[in-house]
Amino acid sequence: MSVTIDSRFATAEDTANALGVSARELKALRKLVDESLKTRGANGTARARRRKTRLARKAKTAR
Amino acid sequence: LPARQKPPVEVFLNVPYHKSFEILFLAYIAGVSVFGIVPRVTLENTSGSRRLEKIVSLIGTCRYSIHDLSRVQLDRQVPRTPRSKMPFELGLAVAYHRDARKGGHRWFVCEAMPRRLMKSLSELNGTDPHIHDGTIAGVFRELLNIFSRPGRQPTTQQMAQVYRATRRNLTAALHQSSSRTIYSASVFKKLSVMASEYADRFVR
Repeated sequence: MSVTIDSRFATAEDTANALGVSARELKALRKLVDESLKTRGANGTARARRRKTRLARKAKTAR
Repeated sequence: LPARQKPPVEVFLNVPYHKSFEILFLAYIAGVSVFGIVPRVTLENTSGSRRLEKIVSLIGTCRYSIHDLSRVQLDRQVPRTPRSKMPFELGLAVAYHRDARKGGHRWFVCEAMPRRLMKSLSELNGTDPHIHDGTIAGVFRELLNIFSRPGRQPTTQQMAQVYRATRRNLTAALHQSSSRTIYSASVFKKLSVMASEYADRFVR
């Protein structure tokens, strides 16, 4: 038998508050998440990073 | 109260702190985060008070608890003893649930193999355990059988996405906490916050 969750969706702030994580650490963890999404993309692959490398190499050759 | 005003729910994860269970532990963290639930474990309690009281207090603060009994077995170290931690904490949750004055607590049992629970804990005959087959996909599937969230119902693919993204940061979390194991308060907190952040971004 399943239960229905009818409360607010826990954000990173909510989780940090519940677990006693400081605001400073929360900021650092968010930065880590941002960086990982920028370099690897949201779909969990390294496609974004490979594309960036490919474009950089292309630009270098063109010069 | 409308859903927007209700504070996020918390779930007590009663899991074995064993090396071979690390990936499933991370799967539980990622899986419950995708439902917008805050995971809680006994690892968090680093203060000096008595461990048993901290566990009871933690069960009391959580609306739900998930008890994974898949590693209730003899350990390898001498003297070989059964792992009684998980069934004991399950017993505490059941007692808490049965106390009408503290009602509202719901508990769920997870196992890796069907019918194993009948042998290891026959008192729970009549309770259907959630069988995850000892796999990450199985944990996600069973979490989906346990929880539902109207309007923002996650999928197992989203759970896997959050799991992979969180796992990529595992090395950084271990390094920052100077820990070699995932079973430390600091690492658990870091992973839970990151999983919540990923879940909030991926589950729209």
